Amino acid sequence: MTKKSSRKTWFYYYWNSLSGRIGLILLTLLLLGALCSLFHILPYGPLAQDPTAIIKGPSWHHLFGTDQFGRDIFSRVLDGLRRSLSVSVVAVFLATFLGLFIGVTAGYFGGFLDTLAVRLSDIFFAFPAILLALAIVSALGHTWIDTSFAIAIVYTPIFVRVTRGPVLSLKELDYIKATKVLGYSSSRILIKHILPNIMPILLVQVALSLSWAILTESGLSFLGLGTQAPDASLGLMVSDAQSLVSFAWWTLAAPSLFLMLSVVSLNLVGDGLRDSLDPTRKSI
Amino acid sequence: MRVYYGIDRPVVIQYFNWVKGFFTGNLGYAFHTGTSVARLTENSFPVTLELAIFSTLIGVVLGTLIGLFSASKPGSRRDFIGQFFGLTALAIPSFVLSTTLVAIFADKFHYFPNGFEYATPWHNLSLNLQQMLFPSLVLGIAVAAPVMRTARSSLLETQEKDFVRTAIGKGVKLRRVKFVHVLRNSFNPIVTMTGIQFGYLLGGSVIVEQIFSLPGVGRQVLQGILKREYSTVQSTVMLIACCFVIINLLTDVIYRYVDPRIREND
Repeated sequence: MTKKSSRKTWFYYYWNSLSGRIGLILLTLLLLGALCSLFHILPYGPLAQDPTAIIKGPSWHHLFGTDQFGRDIFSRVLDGLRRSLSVSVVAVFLATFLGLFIGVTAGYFGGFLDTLAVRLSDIFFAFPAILLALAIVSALGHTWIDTSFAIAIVYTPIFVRVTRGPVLSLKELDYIKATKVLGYSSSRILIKHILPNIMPILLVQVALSLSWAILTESGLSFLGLGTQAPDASLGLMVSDAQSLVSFAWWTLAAPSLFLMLSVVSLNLVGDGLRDSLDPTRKSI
Repeated sequence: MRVYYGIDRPVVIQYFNWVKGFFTGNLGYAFHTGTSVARLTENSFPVTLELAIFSTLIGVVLGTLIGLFSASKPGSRRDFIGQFFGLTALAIPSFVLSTTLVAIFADKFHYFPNGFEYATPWHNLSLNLQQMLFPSLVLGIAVAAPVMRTARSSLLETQEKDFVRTAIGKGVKLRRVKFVHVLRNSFNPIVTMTGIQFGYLLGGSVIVEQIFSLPGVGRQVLQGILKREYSTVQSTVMLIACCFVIINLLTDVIYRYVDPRIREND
């Protein structure tokens, strides 16, 4: 009973923040579009070429026009969105899991393990994200799972840092000390008592990291090191549009718009989560 | 040849050889051209440095101004406009902005200085500055977004402090309160953010350098990856990381000049 009501109030607070509301609606719409692509309910196949409709402007037949091979851009954008989102979700999931595990254990147990984790993440922080991702991708390969791995490795240190800090202060609190006195096992304390307390910070970080991951993924694809043609990807579509944009503006506008919308929506969701989950932070 | 490159040795020894070479200035050679990576970097680093300085200048001025504009009336329409800019600039990928700029200026106005071969400032200053214009604008906007967000929240926090109320109560002109009392005391987080952004920019903005064909550090790494020259990639990325650490150190030093309180404590 209490659990149910607390969840209700949380969502109530979330819905109260304007940015959270706009972000959630936008994100839901984008996810619906990506799901359409997943279940193959697109108006045209993302790879289907139509020689009779090459470089056609937006119309009712082709909502966002067609490209140089007569492929429907609307379908390709949704397919690319699905690919970008899945790469980012897998990457952020991996990074969260790994970073949470390292951060929490390092913060809780301290000692040599902690020093090692902090120093290692410091080393990773010294490299600019896209450059590190580039270097890793060049070593791993160009399939989507390689891209996910590269992005995950780049973002893991952020999660280590974000989770380790609160754990350090939490473990000094009396109720955690009490559980230790009661003889609870370390794993039980970590999962039942520490994890729920760092959840809000973690959720906000996940939302923000997802937006960065989408930018990184599309950046890699743009440079030709992520998704490979002919598969659709938002970054690759922008790259293709470079040569077409002088006479077909829609080839650039459509993928750019969706890229920006997804990043904006995730940022807004992150802001909304922060406002609603952290009672000490006043939103202005 | 295997003996010459040390490939017959164990990986660990190869690694330590590379580290030794790195510290003695031997960064290895790019196989395709035969030039040393150190020489390559000598040419590419000034390009990136120039770009980073211009972009940071644009970013800090733009970001702080919009932050001031936004924080002057929290919750108002101008705050909304400022925040909207921050969010959009944060969300727009640099390659989208670059491609759009190229599309508008190259195709519609036939103005595209980056179509020419890169000119060094000593060789042809005016062409060099023109070539730097678009890339630094793109990166400047990318830097302005986080700077603006930091400036806004820092300014809002300072505005509520007691000494600001005292200053207003004393009858100090509002403009003076804003620029001397509030802005000066909100500088710390702005300097931190600028330092981080400058460090990242020194790492070469791979994408922007590639689009505007500026032969900077980022492009050097990308070319290395595309041509599979691992010694170039390895050594350049390592150099970039060193730069980043040094910039962070410099930021800490700058604090002492920006904030007298830190100077007093030492």
